[in-house]
Amino acid sequence: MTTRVQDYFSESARRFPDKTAVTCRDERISYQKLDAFGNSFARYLVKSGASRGRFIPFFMPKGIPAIKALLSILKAGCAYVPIDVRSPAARLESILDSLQSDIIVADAESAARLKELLPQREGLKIVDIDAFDPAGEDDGPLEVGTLSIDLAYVLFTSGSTGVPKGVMIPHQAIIDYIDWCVDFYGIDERDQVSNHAPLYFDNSTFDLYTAFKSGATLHLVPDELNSVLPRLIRWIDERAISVFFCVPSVLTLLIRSRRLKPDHFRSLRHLICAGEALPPENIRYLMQHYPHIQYTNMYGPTEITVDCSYHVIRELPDEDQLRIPIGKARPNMELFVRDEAGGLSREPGARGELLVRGLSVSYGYLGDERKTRDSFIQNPLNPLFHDPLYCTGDLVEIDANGDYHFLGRADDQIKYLGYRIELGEIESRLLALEPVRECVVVFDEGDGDARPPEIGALLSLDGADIAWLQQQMKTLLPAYMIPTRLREQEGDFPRTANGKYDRKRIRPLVFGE
Amino acid sequence: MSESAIRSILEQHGRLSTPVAELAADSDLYNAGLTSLATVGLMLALEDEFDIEFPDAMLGRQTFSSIDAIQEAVEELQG
Repeated sequence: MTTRVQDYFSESARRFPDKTAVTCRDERISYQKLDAFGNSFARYLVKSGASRGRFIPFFMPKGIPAIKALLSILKAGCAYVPIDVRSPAARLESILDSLQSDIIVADAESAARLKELLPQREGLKIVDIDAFDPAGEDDGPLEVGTLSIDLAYVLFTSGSTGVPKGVMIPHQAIIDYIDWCVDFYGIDERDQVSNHAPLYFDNSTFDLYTAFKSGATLHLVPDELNSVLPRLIRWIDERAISVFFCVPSVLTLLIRSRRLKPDHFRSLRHLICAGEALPPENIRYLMQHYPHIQYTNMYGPTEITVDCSYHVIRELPDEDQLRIPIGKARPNMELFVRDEAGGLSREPGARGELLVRGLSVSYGYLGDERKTRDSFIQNPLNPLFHDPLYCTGDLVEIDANGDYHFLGRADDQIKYLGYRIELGEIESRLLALEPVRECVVVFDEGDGDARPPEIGALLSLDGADIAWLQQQMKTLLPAYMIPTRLREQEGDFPRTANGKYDRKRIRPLVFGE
Repeated sequence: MSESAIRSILEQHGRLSTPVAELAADSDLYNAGLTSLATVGLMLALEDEFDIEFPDAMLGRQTFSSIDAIQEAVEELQG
């Protein structure tokens, strides 16, 4: 029985020692070599102060060294924390503060960038994985005593107060999810699994661990391939990818690129989408051109470990179909709809916020009891024992077949390019700047191809101009969170009767009618 | 083929966080906020406007990295 996710890897290394575990660009590494490196580097991390149960961030672009780092951190008995190398200093600081971590793993280039970003940070030990020589360390397995209830990773998502929230995921949550995925999709050692999502985005959990559990080869999509997406089409064929998991906007771009040919994707068995609403017309197009692929829509926020529901698309969506369902709960997960009166329902016709129960529900937000209490509530149906329900903040509806449909966000959290963003986080970052007197951030979902989605802001500035603000934002926010349409407001901001900003009236001021 | 035609396409499809008018011909467009989402839209608009098709080998970050780089790529494809 596997109780820890690194055991997936060691077991595959035992069964398929010479098989390629991971590729990236022109590089590849075998299961045995990667496992041995992990053992050696884990020992080195322990010597450097990584004791069991600690949170160890790694800061480097996607590549084989990042996978080495992640595996070694687990083997050292710690939880890993992937951090985007493009994070601005303020975000990095706030993440390191909440982790209370004094060790961070980086490659040589990122280590230099870290020193530049955080010149003042005292006591932070940067472990350079490029400088590590495994020859000096024992490469046999280590026993660190990690339990299945210990944390495997912490992923930081956007938080409404300006401080990112660290979602804590234990080993057992990933194992519950991955064991089902490997079985349901029939993934085995012959598969070529792609990894498109960044490692700091939880969709990557699917790619990494379905491959490691089954002994398949994991192919990392490097950042530069992503900057002009149509190149992915050839890459998928060159690598003979059989399982491809991505956010729907990637599919939209591939289709729009006019570069899809009927003889593409011959090796692809599974195309799986999650992370945002899946446009039915894209699935229609793909099913008509590539009928040999199985298409699955999955759904789930980071807090429930990647996906809690799934819907295999067996029939061609109608031309006027509005949505692809997010389907039904996967085994060992339960979904409820909370209506406005607070009642929980699983009956067709129910409409309200989606609540999730199951072993894969996260422990909550690192070091933030209040936010954890707000989002992870005691199941009112089982008041006599600890039974958390995660409140997703997503609005859903159950159809006559019992399938769930995603309708949108219950609050002002948005999905943009697959990222989950609290508009309030952007607002609080901007309001922290002296010349920003008032600021309301709004989102335009766009209109398919004609008008792509966009983040905008209505601003009142004192003693600075828009150009100045644009410069400032680059150091404060990751690129995907920077509002691209900025409008200055003379006079009062529109407000509702109870004094709140009236976002409905602000939106046309920023984006036009 | 003029720089102003490229600027106007950038204005429409680049979705940059810096106004196009403030960009120099050699300014880094990715620094100015060009995303992968916008790059595809930009690529398609350039193909339509100049009646060209970017081959796979040219679909790199480099090709769309500045107004100069785009101009060079378009001129090369127009022969």
